[in-house]
Amino acid sequence: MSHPLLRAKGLQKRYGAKLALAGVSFEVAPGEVVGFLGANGAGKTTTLRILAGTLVPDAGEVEIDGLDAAREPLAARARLGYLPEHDGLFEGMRVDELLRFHGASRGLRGAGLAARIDELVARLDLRAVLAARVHECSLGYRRRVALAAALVHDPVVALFDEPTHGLDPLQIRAFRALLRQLSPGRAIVFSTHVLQEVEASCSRVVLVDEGRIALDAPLATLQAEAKAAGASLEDLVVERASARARA
Amino acid sequence: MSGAANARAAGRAPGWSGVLLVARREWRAALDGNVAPALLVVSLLASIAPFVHGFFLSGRAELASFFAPLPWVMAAWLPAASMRLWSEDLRARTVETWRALPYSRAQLVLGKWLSGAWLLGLQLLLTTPLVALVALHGDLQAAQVLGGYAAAFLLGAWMLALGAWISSTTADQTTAYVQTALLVAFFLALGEPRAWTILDGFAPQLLPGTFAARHVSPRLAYDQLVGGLVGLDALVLFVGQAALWLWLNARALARGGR
Repeated sequence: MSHPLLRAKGLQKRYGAKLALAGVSFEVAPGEVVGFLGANGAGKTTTLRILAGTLVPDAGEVEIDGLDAAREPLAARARLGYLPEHDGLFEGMRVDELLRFHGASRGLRGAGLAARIDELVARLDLRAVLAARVHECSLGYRRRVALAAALVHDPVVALFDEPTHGLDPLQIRAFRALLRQLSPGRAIVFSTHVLQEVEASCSRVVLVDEGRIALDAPLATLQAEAKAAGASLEDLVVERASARARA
Repeated sequence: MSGAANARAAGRAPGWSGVLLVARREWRAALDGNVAPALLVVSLLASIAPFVHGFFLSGRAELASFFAPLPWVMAAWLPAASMRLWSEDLRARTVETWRALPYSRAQLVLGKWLSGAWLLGLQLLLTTPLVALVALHGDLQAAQVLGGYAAAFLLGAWMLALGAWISSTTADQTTAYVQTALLVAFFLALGEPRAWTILDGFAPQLLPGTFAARHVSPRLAYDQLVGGLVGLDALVLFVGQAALWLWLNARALARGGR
């Protein structure tokens, strides 16, 4: 693995009596697209929020592109693109204003910012809603606007929490294509509980269960093992996770 | 952890210009809705009403009738301007968006407060025709005009800082408004002679009412500045307390990320 763009080490988080994360560690190298799998409440969103800098862990470290996120939080966050589980969009803003604001917040200005927005608008097919206010957009458009806002500064690390939620099949295909275009040179993590989504887009699978990493393996390795065992990938992943839990 | 940042990394933190970016976004968001413009008009009318009454009915052209009741007018409308600063983000969960952007808590807090201060400045600016009326028909003293407007701005900025902090503790704007308005009224009332006399009566040796009026309530400091007396203690009270409210605002944000 080359120099990782994203490194999580020993992340722990407790909400009252509930231990949400019990020492989550993993790294993501440039070019990797990691599918972050897990059931509801397994710790996916908590992990992504800590990586994005919106939640402070009780223990553990996060490194973004070589920067310690605790010591240099602003520089680390400037290198990140984060799509939260809910859109996190400012409702009253026009879509074009919102994208300009997100770009300017990451230091982009003038022609460079305009060109970047044009590129994302074309890629994500946002032209029709560019002058609309966020609250006037459909769920699919909102999700794509949120994606554009997360990517407007061309981040080296992208974190997507349930990115395909609310997208129709065509939009999901477009999202997969976008991931393929984005992946060279970047570290991408996206959470989902849909294994087919991971098979279609990811190079690696990380399964989190009850706040712990239950499985971390390249997708191709898992697919080969599943084929050799005559099982589906889903069966293999569930079996591995169960074995880990028993251990 | 260590290591140099990747050379091809895009995106950088905006630095202190980020305060203006945040303020501009909040300013637009406030004016895009119907609430802030309507409040601005109503508060403007309420603030100039005593002056207009005195000018047309009694033939008095003096700014004292504008500045004297202004704290209570601001106590009613500025909590409405500050209530959305954070409560709206807490309700819509966009507070997480703010946290994910490369702004420090200080930049966010100052930017939001600044947007409110711009609204306050606009409101005060819209009252300046009164100054022209006094100049034409009365005895205009420049020091009192400057002192009065400075006092009004400082008091309003103090209220906005208090309101921003309260707003960061609740997702309900109505709750934020009521709590801020009550707190502002309490602080103003501490500076009223009747209140400090009553309080002094509880402990005549310690004179708690007098102490509160001088060092806790912004009311006497406001009156002092309106009267053209620029005292360091008045400035310290306004700036020191506003800084305290903004610090508490930042602390509330930090707690929300834990």
